[in-house]
Amino acid sequence: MSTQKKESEKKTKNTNVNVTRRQALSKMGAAAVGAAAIVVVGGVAYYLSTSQAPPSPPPTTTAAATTQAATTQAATQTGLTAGPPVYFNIWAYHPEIVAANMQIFNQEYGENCEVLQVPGDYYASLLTKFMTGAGSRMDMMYLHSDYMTRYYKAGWIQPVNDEEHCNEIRNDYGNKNLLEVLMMPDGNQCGWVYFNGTVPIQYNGKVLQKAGLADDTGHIKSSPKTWDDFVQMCRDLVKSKVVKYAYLPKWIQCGTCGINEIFDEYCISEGELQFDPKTQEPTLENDRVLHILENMRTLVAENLADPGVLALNEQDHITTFCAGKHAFTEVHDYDLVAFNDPAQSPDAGWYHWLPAQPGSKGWYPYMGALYCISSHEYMKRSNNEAKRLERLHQFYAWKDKNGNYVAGKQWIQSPPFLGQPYTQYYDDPATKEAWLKQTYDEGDMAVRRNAHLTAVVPPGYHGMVWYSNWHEYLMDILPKMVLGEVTPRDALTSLIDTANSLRKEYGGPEIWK
Amino acid sequence: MTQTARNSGSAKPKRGLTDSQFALFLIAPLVIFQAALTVYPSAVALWMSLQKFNPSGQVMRFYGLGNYIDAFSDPGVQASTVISIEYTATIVAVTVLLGLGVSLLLNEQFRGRSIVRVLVILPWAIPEYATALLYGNVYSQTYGTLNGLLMALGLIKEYLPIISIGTIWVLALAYAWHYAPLAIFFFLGSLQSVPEDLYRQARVDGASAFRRFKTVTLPYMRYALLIILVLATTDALKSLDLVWNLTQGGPSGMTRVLTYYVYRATFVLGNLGYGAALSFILLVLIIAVTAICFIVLTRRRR
Repeated sequence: MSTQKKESEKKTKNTNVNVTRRQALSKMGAAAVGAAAIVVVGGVAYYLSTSQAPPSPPPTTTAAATTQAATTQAATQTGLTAGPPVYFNIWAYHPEIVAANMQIFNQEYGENCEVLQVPGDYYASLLTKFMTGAGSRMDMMYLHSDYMTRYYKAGWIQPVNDEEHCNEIRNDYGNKNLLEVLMMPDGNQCGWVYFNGTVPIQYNGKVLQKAGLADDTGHIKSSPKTWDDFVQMCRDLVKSKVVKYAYLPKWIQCGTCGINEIFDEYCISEGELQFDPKTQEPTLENDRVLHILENMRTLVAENLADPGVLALNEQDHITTFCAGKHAFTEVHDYDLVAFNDPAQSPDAGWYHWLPAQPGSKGWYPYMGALYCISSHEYMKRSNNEAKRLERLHQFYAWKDKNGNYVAGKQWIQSPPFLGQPYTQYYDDPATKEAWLKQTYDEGDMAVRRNAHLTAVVPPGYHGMVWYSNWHEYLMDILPKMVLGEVTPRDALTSLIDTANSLRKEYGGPEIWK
Repeated sequence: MTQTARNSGSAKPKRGLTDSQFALFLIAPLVIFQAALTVYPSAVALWMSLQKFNPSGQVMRFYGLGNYIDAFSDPGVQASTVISIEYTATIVAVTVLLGLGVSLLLNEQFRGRSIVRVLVILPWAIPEYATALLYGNVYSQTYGTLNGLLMALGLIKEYLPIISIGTIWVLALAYAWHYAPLAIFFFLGSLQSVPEDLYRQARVDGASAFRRFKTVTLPYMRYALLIILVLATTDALKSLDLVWNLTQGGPSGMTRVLTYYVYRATFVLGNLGYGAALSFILLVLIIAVTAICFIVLTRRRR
């Protein structure tokens, strides 16, 4: 019986193939490994096939082939061959203009360069890229000046001294002060100006008119010569009850464009540069700076400036001033377009710049950004690639191969009219025509031209790798001071101590030797 | 017989992997994946936290525990920790209360209940970043809907700088609006598991509504409540998008939560070592809070 049973069980086992969970997983694992191997092999094959230079187009008579032949000829004329795309990383500001310029470049030079808009926080993405090499390739990029210093010191930015036409471009700059922005203490130049602007005081002529401070056309009758005059004018406006707060200062929380930048504005208008450019030691211990701080506090203490601005971001600040509830503000000069846009402001057409910046010197501060080229082990490139990149760099920052200003013209002649370093742009009738269409008047245009061509760069910008720390500290202490939590005297002492401490911690000019 | 011969004689022939080896083989991809995405970066971050970096992101020198010591003596960190605790406590309290209230309402029978349930969950589906943009419009001093509402109700005569007045509290309310649907989701699930008979018996015994909630409903919701406490606390402590997009820590540092401080140290100032050290301190804080919640849970279970 038992023999029969065993045989029966044996038969059953032979006919029913039992697969254990382990066997199933083994087979699934093997299949997964096989699939992974196929993917890897396929990926390598794809990489090898795409990393080779594209073959020359066959001679055909189609229009597409003709275009291709023309562009290939253009590339060959300069002795450069086409290759993998060169990438231009940008922040999210009118990417359509950047893309339009890239299209022109690619057509003119038979290139295949690409614009990549960096998502999220721009500098956080860049830092991550430089630290890890993760993500897409980055060849050219925007940088603010203070970041350029840090990145250059880290070896992430390539000097442009050896670029062809370097001296020609320098000579072409209308405002030679801008060259100071570009130069590092070791004598190397690290980029070209993407745009340059200033932070002038702007006013709402309609509000001033109601208070009897502007003429029938909404132009200010008597522009304040000093900041004391300005504070007094704010007092008069509030006293007249035309507005609750006369001044909406741009005292926002923004690392590159907030209360720190406006403090620079006040200082520069008084000829106060904050740091000795040679020693990088603070020069803040003087009555001028103390008076600037006292005026800032007075503006809030006497309810002349709107303290609500401390919680606004950049866009909200503009929107708030567009509402027509304040008389004065300061913003980057290109934002006059927003104020004078009927879709954004009920008082469109009434906004103007003060004819001159208040202050003993009346200087305007430089603000802007640069085109820089990365230099990093993750971004190694051949000589051919380096030359193609240089060509792209100069196309955006200067002229095309035919000697025409192309990219910069797009910026300065299209809203919001980003400032450019070349005087020719301002004298171009097309620029004038475009600006006048956007409710700029002749007076504003003259102010803007003058401001651009004379803007002063704070010496503290150069070679201070800790400039961002300094600017961040200004954002810490100045709001406290204007709200009365710290006296202007204590704030000044604290500023000087911090500047000395940062210099001691991270080094002065000696780190560049 | 030599030792070798004995060993070879007694050794069983091996075919394939043992069960343990096979199990290890199966979990190996997950382990490798986790190591690549978590362990390795954490190890690098730990190493970074022991270095002194300059603003260019370059290591200046080995700093030991210096960054941690600096953090504990940094008034900015202390202030940010207090703000983070206020922010988190408000979020957790509002989330739980709102979640409880709404889930009790949604547990009742009424027409259109299914649609309301779907609508209620929507804020949770909105990313934190979009929530920030939304509440920028709600709180705006110039065109804010909240100001418009208050004005229409005659409660204010002019638009107010709501964020300046409410600071971290109004930000916490925005986050709670975003987060409460998750609590509603959990609580509603728990409520539906309460046997109806228990309510009937409680009514027969003459228990009041509050008594019924305390003795019948709450015990069934306890686990959901504790899960929400843990999730809301950890997520609120980690939250950055809302603060970053609405106030960037302003006005005057009044909304500078610890995550913002970490972000600023790392990405704005390039002080990678200090940022990494602060991250680990934040991590310890989150683990401690989570552990406390779980200890409470375990005790109740006993």
